[in-house]
Amino acid sequence: MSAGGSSSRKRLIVAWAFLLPNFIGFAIFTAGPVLFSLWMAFTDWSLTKHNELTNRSPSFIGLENFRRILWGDESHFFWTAFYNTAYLLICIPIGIAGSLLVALMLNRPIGPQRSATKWKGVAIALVIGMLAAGSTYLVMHPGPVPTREAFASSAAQIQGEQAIQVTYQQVLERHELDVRSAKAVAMLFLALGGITAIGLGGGVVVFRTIFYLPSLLAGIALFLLWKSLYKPTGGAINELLRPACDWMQGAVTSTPAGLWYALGVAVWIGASIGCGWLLLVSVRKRLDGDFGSLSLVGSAMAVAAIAATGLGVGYALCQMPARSLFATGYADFSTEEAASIRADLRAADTGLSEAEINLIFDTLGESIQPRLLGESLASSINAEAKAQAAIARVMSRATPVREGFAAGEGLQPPRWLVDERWAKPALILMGVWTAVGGANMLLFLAGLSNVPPELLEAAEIDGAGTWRRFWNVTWPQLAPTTFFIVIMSTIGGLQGGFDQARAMTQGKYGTEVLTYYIYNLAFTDEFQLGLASAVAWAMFAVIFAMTVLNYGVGNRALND
Amino acid sequence: MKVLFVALVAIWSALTFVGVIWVLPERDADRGMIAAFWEMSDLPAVVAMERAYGTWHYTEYGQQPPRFAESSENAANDPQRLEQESRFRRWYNDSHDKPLSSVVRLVWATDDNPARRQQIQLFRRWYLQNYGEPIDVVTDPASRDTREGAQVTKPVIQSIGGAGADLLETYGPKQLEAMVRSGIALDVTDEAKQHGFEYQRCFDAGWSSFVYNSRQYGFPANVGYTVLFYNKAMFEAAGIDAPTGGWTIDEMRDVARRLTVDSPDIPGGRRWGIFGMHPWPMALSNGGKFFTDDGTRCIYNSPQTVAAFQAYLDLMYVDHVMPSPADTASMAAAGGFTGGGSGGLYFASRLCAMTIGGRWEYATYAQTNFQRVIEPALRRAAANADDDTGATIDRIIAALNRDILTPMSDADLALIRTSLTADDRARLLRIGVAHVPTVDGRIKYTDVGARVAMVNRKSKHRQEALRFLQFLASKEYNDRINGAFDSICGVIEYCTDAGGISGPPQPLPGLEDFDSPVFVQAMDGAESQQLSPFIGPERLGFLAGRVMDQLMNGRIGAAEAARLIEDQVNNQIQANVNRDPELKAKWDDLTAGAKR
Repeated sequence: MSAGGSSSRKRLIVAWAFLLPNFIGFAIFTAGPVLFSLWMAFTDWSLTKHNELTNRSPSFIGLENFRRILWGDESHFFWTAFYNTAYLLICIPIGIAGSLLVALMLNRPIGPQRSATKWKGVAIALVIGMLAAGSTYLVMHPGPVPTREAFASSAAQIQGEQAIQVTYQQVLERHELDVRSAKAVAMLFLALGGITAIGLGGGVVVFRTIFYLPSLLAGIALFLLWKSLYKPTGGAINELLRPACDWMQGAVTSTPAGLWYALGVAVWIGASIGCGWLLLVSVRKRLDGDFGSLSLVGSAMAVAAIAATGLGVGYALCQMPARSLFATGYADFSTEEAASIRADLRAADTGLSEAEINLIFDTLGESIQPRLLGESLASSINAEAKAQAAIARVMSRATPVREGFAAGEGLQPPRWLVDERWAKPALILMGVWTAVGGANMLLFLAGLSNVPPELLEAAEIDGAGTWRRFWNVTWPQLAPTTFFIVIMSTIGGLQGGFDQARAMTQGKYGTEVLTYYIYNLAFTDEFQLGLASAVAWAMFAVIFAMTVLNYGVGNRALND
Repeated sequence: MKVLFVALVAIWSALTFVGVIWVLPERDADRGMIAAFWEMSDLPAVVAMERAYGTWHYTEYGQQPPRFAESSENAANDPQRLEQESRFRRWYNDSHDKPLSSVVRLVWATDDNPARRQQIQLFRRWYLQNYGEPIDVVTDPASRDTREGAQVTKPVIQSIGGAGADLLETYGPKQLEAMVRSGIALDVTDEAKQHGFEYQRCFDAGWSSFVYNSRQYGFPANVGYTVLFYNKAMFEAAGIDAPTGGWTIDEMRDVARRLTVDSPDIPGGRRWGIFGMHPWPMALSNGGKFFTDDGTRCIYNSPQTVAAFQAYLDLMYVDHVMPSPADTASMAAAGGFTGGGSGGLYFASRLCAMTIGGRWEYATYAQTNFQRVIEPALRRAAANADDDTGATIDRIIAALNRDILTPMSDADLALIRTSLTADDRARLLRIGVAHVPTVDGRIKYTDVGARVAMVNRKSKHRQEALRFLQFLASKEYNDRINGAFDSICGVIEYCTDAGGISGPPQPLPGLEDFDSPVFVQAMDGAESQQLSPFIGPERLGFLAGRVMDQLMNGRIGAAEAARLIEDQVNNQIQANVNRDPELKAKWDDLTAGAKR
């Protein structure tokens, strides 16, 4: 054997020696379990039934698990989780757009560059911060704590010495809480002033760091923070929304219903015109060769966003006169419903005579509240079982309505994490906030630093404005970065959502995403490891298909 | 440079080695055992041991050691005690075949709290007394699932993998079923008969938590229903008589209306009349059944269920005397980011006048009273007292700060009472106990809460673990449960004393109803949870839970909720039966029998 061959073999052995630990680790901890889960997906393995202690082995059942999740008895849960996952993907384009915007802002010098002006700016920021902190503290401070006597005379509703004493203690606690809140908000303004000052002094790097800070926080800390912000009462977001809701309530009650319908329709028409115009422009630019595939996809997403927003806002405006946007209760029975229920009660075995039934309805008058009718029946029917059956008949016809507004309690802000309609948007909002200043922003910043300045300069000399320079130079140059971000974000989005749902909603209120569903199947619902593996592989298929699609569109865009 | 690198690596390795040797293993793990010897100094075996230790000590140090009984009275971190422990450990390890730290150590998957540590110490002493050998128990709080009705994920996976605790902990029939079906729970029926911890000694309402198909799989560490706690001061102030016996939801609603107070000065703007009623037990206590007797069909959509659901909704959305889930999410009694908390915390913060809770919450209430009222009052009193009284007060404060459940002597309790001013007494959280109201006013409880210890079939210390179950049936243990407000004990004979609860020490002011007969009455005639062999408990909870969430948030009405639950559960039963031939045969058999 030649010396060269021996040396080559030696190099090969050394290379393998370095690579092998990684390969072994990958095979044992990644490839092995992945392949094992593929086998599991074709079995009926339930850990409670098939384990060493029960002495039973799982059976091979072919594609049965996939049939069950795609169109069998599990399909409803699978597709619901799939829908939830897809819904939450909305935050990806918004987050990417936000990241790009922030990256563009942070890609140029911020604040005055001359030293004297810079330090003047720093001083002004600090003074403004201190002034804002001081004035906020003075405005928010509840003043001196009320004496017990003053409280007793003001709280006429509370009778008796003991009751006053018990409640007064709560007043003291509330006062302490308000003082602490005033201090906290004042400190916030002080901190904002400080951060601005540091930013002005330190330049863009400081702001980049601040924007990236959320990414440095542990996920669970962020989730708990947002959970607190989303509290229906007392949460910062709803406390900010409440004045807007009050204003809107005033506007609704003092404005003719027709105006709201007209506004709603106007928004729909406006959105339709906007979508049409954007589509026409996009098609024309595509035909002229100005738009690549990526630009076309961006336009399509913009059209979809405008259409969805227009539909939603228009619908909300049309719902205003019905006063049924946010809160909950029961609607009064209409005359027709009341007549139908009366007939129903006559036919049922209630033990009441027709005269007695008529008396109940006549006493209640024209607008019949379901609960009052139920109470009347309960007090009129002697046999308990019959009374309950009659009440059940009545309440089964009651229609839940949003009572808070109708009852004059004011238009209520969303209940966010405890409301099926708002839980997903709440998670999306949080996701966008987290994504905007995260890793995507850094990638865009890196991409922007690679845009050749001479191209931008040439465009400027040719008379291109800021928008033109972005659209024709920066954006195409960022295509590879955008392509990478879209692919990674889509994969992450399809795999994600578990942590948020687990920490904030326990998977309730329509936030059970695919990963949460897998967890539930595998580790809580009778440990159905086989079925859970099938869902995981179905999810893999979806992610794979999406990635292939992204590659197809993205590659074409890159080549354009 | 190379030398520096090698030196750094060497230092790092040495530190890691020291860490592994000294930090990772639990140091002084045998302290509990030493304390058990000292505390049991009257036992003949320990008397002999003390004599032998004394001889050795004299030889080694030239003087007699302090008596075991004296050593045990020193505080845990007292330097003298630590020195004594160190000498005793040396003697024991030298004079026995194996060191004290290597005696059998059972792992108990339970939470770690002062009450549990007391119980473990009691077990060490009990074991020494009954078996003449030392034994140790350590808790493993991470290996349990505390949520009642939830799946026992960690215990199942760990136990099947061979890494489970010796003693497992479950709550309720659903978790028992999972443990038995997985083959993890050891059948202890024969041993129970032999050693006197058979299930017949316990409240029959709790049997479903540890008896499955007439076989026994554990023993209850405690049992108890959630009852209704009310704020006595609020009741007295409103001139409302305390409820006695059964009462209806309507009666409770009237009371709650009178106790609900709106004021911008109250945190959250409202003090609620009632907190914590739940539609599930409300429906069951109203006679609504979940399954047919054979479990083949869900029959939840009944007038009884609908009426109970409606009553529940009315409390929140019509009468506004109970917080809705949205209101609850906004209540942060603890002031943290938890977005809520237990009814006990709200009650302790006086954000509600009544709440549904268990006897174990007395510890929270005792803590609340101590921190807010009693400790400041004692400190004021100490400032004006003579030296002896001041020292006594300091001792009381230190003892209660260390463990709020420390038994108080009559003299100490009298001193606490005299330290309280009239204002202090008005600020005390005084708790009354009443039955949970039902739609029809009958006293009826369902869904017993039983914390059950069971033996892992893969335990390497099966014999010792079985003796632990025997200990759970002992008078010593059950008296301690009653005394530490850890719900109530599982054994009937140790639980009742003239209609109340036997054994507890004097409670702190405000908690005088600690021995209310309501706690025991709740167990009489109570019903166990219904399960069906045709649907897993977790899927059942998932299906019903989703609908319940919608109901509780007022998104659907009572009748629709009952109908949806029944339809979805029956659909799932059908799907399960169609998929599993064994299940189908069983279902066919039962339904054919029913038709015949």
